[in-house]
Amino acid sequence: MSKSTLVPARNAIHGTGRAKLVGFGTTASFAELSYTYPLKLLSPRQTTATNIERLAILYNLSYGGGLIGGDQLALTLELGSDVKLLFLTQGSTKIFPSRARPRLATGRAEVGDTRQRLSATIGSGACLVMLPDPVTPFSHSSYSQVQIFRLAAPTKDTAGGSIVLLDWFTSGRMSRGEEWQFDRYRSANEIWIGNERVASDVLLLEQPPSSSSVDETAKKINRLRDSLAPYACYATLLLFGPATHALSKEFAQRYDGLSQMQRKVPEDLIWSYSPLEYKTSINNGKRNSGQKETGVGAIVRVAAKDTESVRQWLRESLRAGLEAQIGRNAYSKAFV
Amino acid sequence: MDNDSYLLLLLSDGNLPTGSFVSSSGLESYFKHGFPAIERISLSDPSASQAPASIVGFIRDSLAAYARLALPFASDAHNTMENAVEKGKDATIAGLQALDRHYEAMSLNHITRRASKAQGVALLTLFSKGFSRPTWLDAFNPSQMDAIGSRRKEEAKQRLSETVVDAYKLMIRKGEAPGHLPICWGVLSAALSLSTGRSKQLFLFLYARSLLSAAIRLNAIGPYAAQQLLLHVIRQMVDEEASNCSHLTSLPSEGPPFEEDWSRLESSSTPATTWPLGEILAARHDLQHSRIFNS
Repeated sequence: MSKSTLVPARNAIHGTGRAKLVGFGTTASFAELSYTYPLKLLSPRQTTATNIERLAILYNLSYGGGLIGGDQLALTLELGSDVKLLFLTQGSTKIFPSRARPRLATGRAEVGDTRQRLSATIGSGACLVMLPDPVTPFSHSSYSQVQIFRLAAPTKDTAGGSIVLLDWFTSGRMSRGEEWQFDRYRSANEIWIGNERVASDVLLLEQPPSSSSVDETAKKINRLRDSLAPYACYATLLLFGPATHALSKEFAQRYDGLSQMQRKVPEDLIWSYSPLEYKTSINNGKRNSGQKETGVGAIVRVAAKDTESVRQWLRESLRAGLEAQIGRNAYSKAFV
Repeated sequence: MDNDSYLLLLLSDGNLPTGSFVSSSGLESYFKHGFPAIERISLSDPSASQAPASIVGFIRDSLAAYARLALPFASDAHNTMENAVEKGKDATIAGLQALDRHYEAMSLNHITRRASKAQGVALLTLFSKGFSRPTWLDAFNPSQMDAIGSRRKEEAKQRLSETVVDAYKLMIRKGEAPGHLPICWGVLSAALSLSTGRSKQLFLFLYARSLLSAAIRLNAIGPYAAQQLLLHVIRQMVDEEASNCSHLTSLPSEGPPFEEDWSRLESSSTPATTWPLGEILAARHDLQHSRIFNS
């Protein structure tokens, strides 16, 4: 049953990257764009004429060969006011197992973990659209990702920052029959508006602790699959800020039109939408006004039996809302 | 009878008006979407029929998820309330409010939020109406003068708890705090001087039992079979989750929350969501064409 996994023959590396996007006139340009191996950031020049102002596209190409245990990547994104950034990857992020297997029982982040950190600040009126490919954690891999987004709070005169955040993963290399065989997958997304934490989405999937007896292994692996079957790909979409309101509304209308009858077996694809109310302090120039304003963000979750169905569902569901934000040309580069 | 044992009897009463009887925590939706048809290999037992395996499977995943996300908040709230005498009323309330809002930011599902808030407020009401010390009691029962010193201390603590609960209820009504179940549970259990350990076990036990009650109301299992599960299957689950999750806390170790504190979010002792499928099913509750529960 055990299949050997070819792990890239290199040592674990720590890479960092920084991108700062600022608006000038009708264009947006990178005031700073730097990275160290294995991180690689690339911003293609937009060839087709576009009527979308102050938009840039940034590819994160670091994952081409996949990440191995011990790799640590840290990326900082800074969006000035009134710019838009579409953040993409090329191909799914493969997570290889660490050659020195982390200990399972402790459950702590071990040296052998693959770690990614992203810190993003989003200025007033700016919008970050993150539509990466899914993460594919291979058998016995251990992955931890933390992404923190700080959105400018709206004021009397300026709009707040916005975020469209897609975070998704698959059960593993399904083509090799490798499903839910990773040791640990952890993804934390935190969204702040001003000094208010409006969403803290921490997903943790790990093989249950307990006895390390070999006989138990098969059973333990089954347990993770059992609780997530029949689906093999899960996606979470978080929407906050004024640029996402039309998109949220579209999801809400579609969702409210659904009516669930008794089913004999689960559907091949299932999704949910939840409006997320939050309170933020209004910064109206006076200090300590203590006033709170209610805002609404949203979370959409999708699960399906295969990755392609989720990709297709996302592509169609986000099309109208996002083409209005970043234009048809830029949007066509996502979900390819 | 010691305090803990007596309180366990009191709090495990299925007739307590806590509002849990209108909540199935996603179980109704799980059935409606056809999930009992999914085989659970890790639970397969040729002698068992499909229904108990799917119910046991749901309870195991749902309880594990609740323990991982809500239990740390319940125990943090319990500890916050236990320190009320030293920290004072205002600091205690501010601490509870921060926990409450943090929990709100972590429970990203409108149906679960709605049910949790309804049950949270019900618990606080239960405390002020059902567990507060009647004022006439002091005049009525002045005989136990021997233990007057410790009794005064107890009474002062009780009064402080009542003040905190009343003030917190007011904040919830004004929309300044969400009033989620785990936070209110911690407040209640600490106000009654239940020990932290017992508070956590009871919190999980009551959750698991309410899932079984929902299963009975949904006609998925009979009342005898439910008792059987409660004694022979759920017990290990509750113990296991209570011990797996006992080290978790929602509170950062230290330092201002504003610095990009990676360790805070990378720490394995933070609360987490562990069952994304459960989230989807719970959030789809209101889509059911016909339904008997509120969540």
